[in-house]
Amino acid sequence: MNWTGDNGMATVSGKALAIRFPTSIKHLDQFCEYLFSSSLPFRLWGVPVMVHENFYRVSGIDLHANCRLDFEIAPEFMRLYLPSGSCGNTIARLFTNLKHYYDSQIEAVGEDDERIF
Amino acid sequence: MKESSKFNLQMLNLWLGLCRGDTGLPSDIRSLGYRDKWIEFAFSTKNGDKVNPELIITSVKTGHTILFEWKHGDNTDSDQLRRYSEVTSNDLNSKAAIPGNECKLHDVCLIGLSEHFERLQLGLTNSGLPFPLLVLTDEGIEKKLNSFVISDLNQVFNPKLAFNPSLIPTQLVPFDRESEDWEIAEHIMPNIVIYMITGEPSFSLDQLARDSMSIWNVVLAPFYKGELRNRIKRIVNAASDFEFRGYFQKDKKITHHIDSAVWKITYDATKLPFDKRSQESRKLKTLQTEFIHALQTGERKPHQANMDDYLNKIIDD
Repeated sequence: MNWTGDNGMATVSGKALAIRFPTSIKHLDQFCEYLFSSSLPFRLWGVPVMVHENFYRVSGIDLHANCRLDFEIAPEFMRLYLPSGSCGNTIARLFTNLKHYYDSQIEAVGEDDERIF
Repeated sequence: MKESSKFNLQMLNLWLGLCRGDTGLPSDIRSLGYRDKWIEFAFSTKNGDKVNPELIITSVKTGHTILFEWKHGDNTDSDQLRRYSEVTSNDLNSKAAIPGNECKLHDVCLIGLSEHFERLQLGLTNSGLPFPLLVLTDEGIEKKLNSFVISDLNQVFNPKLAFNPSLIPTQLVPFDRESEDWEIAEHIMPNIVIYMITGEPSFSLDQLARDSMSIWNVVLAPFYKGELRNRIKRIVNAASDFEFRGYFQKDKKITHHIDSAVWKITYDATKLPFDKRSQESRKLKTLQTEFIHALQTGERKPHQANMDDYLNKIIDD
């Protein structure tokens, strides 16, 4: 995600990448605690904030690369916001780890629901 | 959170998300070719009257532009509506830099909360203007009054644009100047954690603002910037005085002037053995949790004062 603009004209470019969970996450609070425990394999830092009962947001850090990665997590999907300047490997690593340690059926989608992983 | 802040930020994030076809939201708006153009861009009509829509979205596919006004309360501003009624395609093209093929037609659209519908309807009806009025409900967005000039767009709201409002994005624009301190802290503190774990010796207010909000260098008006700068400074000072005491502290030599506020980092995680770093990260997470909780509730865990704190306080005073 990046903001650009000039002379008072602001626009935001980029979009959230989403990871879809074919099987809904049953215990979203526990999932978030596990994911953001700062421990291997994910090594994600962040304090999950409950927006609604089944929707969390996290302003996070990928401790592998020490860069920002922000999240919105619902039982069926997770939106990922990679700020400009953060490392793109972060997304690939997270996807691989989720596939390996959580659910092998997950898929990552980008613009217009195009499957990217 | 304040109702007004929540609704304004919620609507901005919603429409940015709809234009992007974000997962969890319907793709109808994006499918019609709408993309967000400008956020809070003020321009003048040919009569010299100023309008300042919260968001402008445009579509090449429909040749159509929508100027949005969020209405968090139950009142419409008749003078504001009149000024909007004077906007022409030529104004959009020449003053708002919208290409001609995206603004052959345009609508001014008001969006409010369903509980304020009747008053908003009354205000808009009294104005005699044909602006579409949308309301946010528990099931999505409904078009309650008037129509868009694009029939395909009207179909999107027939009977409603259905989605779960609890899944509206929050991270596209995570906070604004009306957000609560804890919401700002939630977003800016991770950047300070990155400074700490990467061994930065210090950080400045501007550096933190830039790293936390890429919009910082682009558009924030001076008064808006100053207000947010004050908020951020106050929040970081609170963190350094309480939960993150021992991790970073105000650089008292140059911190008195707001534009040059600097904090010295007194903690260096890079010197920790690798096997201790996860443990330290968890500790920082606990501190952040406690900090957010303290900002939300005003309650803090008692901490043991030490001589350094005492001496620092005397110097401050």
